[in-house]
Amino acid sequence: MRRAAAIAIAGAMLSCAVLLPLALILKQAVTPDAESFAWPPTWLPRQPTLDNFRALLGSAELPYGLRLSVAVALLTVLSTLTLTVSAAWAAARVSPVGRRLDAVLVVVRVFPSLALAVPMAVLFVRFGLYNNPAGIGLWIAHTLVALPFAFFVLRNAFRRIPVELEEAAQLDGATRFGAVWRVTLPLARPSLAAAALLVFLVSWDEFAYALLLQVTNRPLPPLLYYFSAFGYPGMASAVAAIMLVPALAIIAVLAPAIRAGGLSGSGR
Amino acid sequence: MRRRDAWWLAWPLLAALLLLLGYPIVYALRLAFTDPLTGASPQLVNFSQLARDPLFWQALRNNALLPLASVALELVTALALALFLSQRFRGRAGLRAIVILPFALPEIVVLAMMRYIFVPRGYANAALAALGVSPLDWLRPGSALAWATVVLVDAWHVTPVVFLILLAALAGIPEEIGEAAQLDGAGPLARLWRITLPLLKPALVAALLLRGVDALRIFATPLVLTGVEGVPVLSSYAYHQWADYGNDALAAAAATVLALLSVTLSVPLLRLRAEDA
Amino acid sequence: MAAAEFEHVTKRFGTVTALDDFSLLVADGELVAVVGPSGCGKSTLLRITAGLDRPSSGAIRVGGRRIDELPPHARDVAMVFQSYALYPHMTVRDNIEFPLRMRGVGRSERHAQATQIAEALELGTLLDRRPAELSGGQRQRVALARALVRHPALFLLDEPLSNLDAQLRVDVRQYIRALHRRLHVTTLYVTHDQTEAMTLGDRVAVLRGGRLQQADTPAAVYERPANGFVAAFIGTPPMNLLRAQASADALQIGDQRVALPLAMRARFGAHAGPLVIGVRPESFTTDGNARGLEAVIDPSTSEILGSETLARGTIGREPVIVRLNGIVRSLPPRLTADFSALHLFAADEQGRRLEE
Repeated sequence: MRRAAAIAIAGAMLSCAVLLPLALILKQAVTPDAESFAWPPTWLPRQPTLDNFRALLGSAELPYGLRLSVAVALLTVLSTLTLTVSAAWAAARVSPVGRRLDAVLVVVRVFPSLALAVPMAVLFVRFGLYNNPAGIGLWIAHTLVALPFAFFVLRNAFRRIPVELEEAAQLDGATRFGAVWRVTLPLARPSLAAAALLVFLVSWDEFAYALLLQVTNRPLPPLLYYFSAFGYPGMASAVAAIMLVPALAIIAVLAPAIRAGGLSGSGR
Repeated sequence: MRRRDAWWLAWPLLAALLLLLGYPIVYALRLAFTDPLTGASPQLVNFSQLARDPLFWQALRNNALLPLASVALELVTALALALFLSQRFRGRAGLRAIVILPFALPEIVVLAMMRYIFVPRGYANAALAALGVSPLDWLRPGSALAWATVVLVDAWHVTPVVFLILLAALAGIPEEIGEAAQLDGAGPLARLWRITLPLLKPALVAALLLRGVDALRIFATPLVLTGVEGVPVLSSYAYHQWADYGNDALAAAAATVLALLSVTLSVPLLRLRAEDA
Repeated sequence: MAAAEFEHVTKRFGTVTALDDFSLLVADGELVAVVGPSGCGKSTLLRITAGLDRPSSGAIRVGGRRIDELPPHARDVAMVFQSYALYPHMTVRDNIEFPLRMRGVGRSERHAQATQIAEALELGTLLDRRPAELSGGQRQRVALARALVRHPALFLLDEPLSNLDAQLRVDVRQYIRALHRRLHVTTLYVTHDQTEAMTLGDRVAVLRGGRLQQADTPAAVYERPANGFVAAFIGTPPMNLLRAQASADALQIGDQRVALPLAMRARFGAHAGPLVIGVRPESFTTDGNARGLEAVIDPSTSEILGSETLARGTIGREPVIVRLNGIVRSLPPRLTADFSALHLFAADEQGRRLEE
């Protein structure tokens, strides 16, 4: 019984440490700014309101920022998957190639974003892609950021599909490419979907490049920063709430895959 | 399939990397090693200017120490959590999901949340006031407390990753080994120290290296919480030079130093992965 | 070294009873082989004895001392796991010394004791290796050494031979037997292989569905199985069990009616009605003087194994397996099992032996 009590207490403390901050920002999203600025801050909103969301919807920045975030994320999914799928398959089937690519992409994954964002920003200014209203510049940057994630997921997925299936298909008359197209890719569909969701999430959450490359045409992350830095706690929290919806939804979908270790190596 | 064919399949990816990674790196090096006033190259003038800026040295020092502190905290916390959540009890799955949650949240959301908690009129001080304790200036620029707060917030966000790595490694230790140790007379602490931890060593080292290199990139956390000059790091310093002073060359120089650190630390990580493979 | 007593030990997992009222007395220095099909409760018995699980009810005593409430390390019980459970990151020496270390034995003393037991088990040259560098047989000896270095009062072995390949199994079986003779540790040896149980045990305990069916010497279990299950479980090939009807003067098996000689009428008549008759394959003989059950042999089914020849036949359309010594190339069309070689069991679920 003592053990059960200790476990319960530990569990409760853990849950608080994790859930309390989340609860607070959700609370702030439905709290008017006047109350948010008061001291001491309230733990539950005394005058809950949807005004923050209304203000956001009516603002110039949010609808645009939301569209921009979604558009860049979707484009990134497209470009990233297209670029990685054949490389990931080759990496899964041919070990020496796989090892080299693995090493390269690990470096990309850990490479400091700012070290690339600064020269990218300067270059984009030169090419007219800086602060692009359609987010083209950001799309390019996000593709680079997402490549390692997509690569690791897809490579692991292809590794798990036995090469014997492709060989059997070839014996049955398919070409090498045909075997992959008809056998491996359909079997890899769940992983492709998982990779797509992961890339979307990576782009959706990305902050550093978005901050540097889109100085006034902001997607949601820098917009959130802007609101919080300029003293709009209600609207900032509302943006946070909006950002959470797809983020948590995607994690919920990907959770079983995470547990199965399918995303290992990506460090995410 | 021959290697050459495999490399052909990889060329879209490699081309993209060359363009998106290689080109900016080369360009950054050019910016960093060119005198912006005279256009002469290669010159070390930018780096000597960096060396004269005390903020740069502060950033460099922080960039070395913050990751150390953060990773140490993460390892200890993640280990405790993994050990706790490897035991069997009801509600374990739910708790595991909760523990993973911080990493599932977008970084900027986490930082905004934490900022509202730790600002002088924030929730942390409200809790202290309710307990009758005087408020703390959690985010005062340059203070040790701000430094600690940055470490704490970063660890909060990232611990789940280390947790997952250690949890998987713990699951790989056969239960019978723990039972044999029990029969041999080892109590829980002895089992932890002599059996579990030594067997976890590979996972711990892997997590340490991965997180260590990753932690060098730290940018948003100190920026959002304390501002550029609060707890400067190389990333935010570079950003500061570029965004606030428009000084491309200095920014590129600082970024180059950071990139160099990162690449150097990546080498042992890559070697470890190669051994694993 | 001490005697071990199990008193009405029961273990329930929810609605499943893994061990049902298990009682047994193991004499000091005796090796009891606990055998049964999977799920019979033998692993549960071991785990409860070792202290890795608690019984739902009942008591276990070792050397008169009650141990079922004590933590594993306080029980003076040692166990060799099926997977050996060697500490992979420690050398063989460290593995063997570990229990001594946990008891606070000093370094030089530990060293001496470990060396001694290692030499006894022919591990002397392997002391500085790691488990990953050892063969299966060597690993097992390390597990044995680690368990025995403590001179435990009770020694538990969990399917020790199942991870070894067939040829090695025979050698290690002998090895364990010789070891037991030498050390005389009270031992519980769990296995699913009845051959192992029969060759190693001073006594054999047969478990089924958590219940002890019979605990007796191998000879007794073989010659006087307590019920139909034990009869069929022990012996390779298994005993033939035939459904029959007994009346005052005859036996009806399938469509064959066997008249009972006068001498047999009392014996079978006492159990008139449905019953189960057991006859071991080797009980069939070509001896012309045998009077009993006659089996019609199908010569196409003969399997010549060298030391013996097996074949299949029928008694009254019921299938039987017969066994003859040596190589028999041309099988006789009929073989007889004498009445005296027949075992009688009840026809109900329990299948209890019907004679004393």
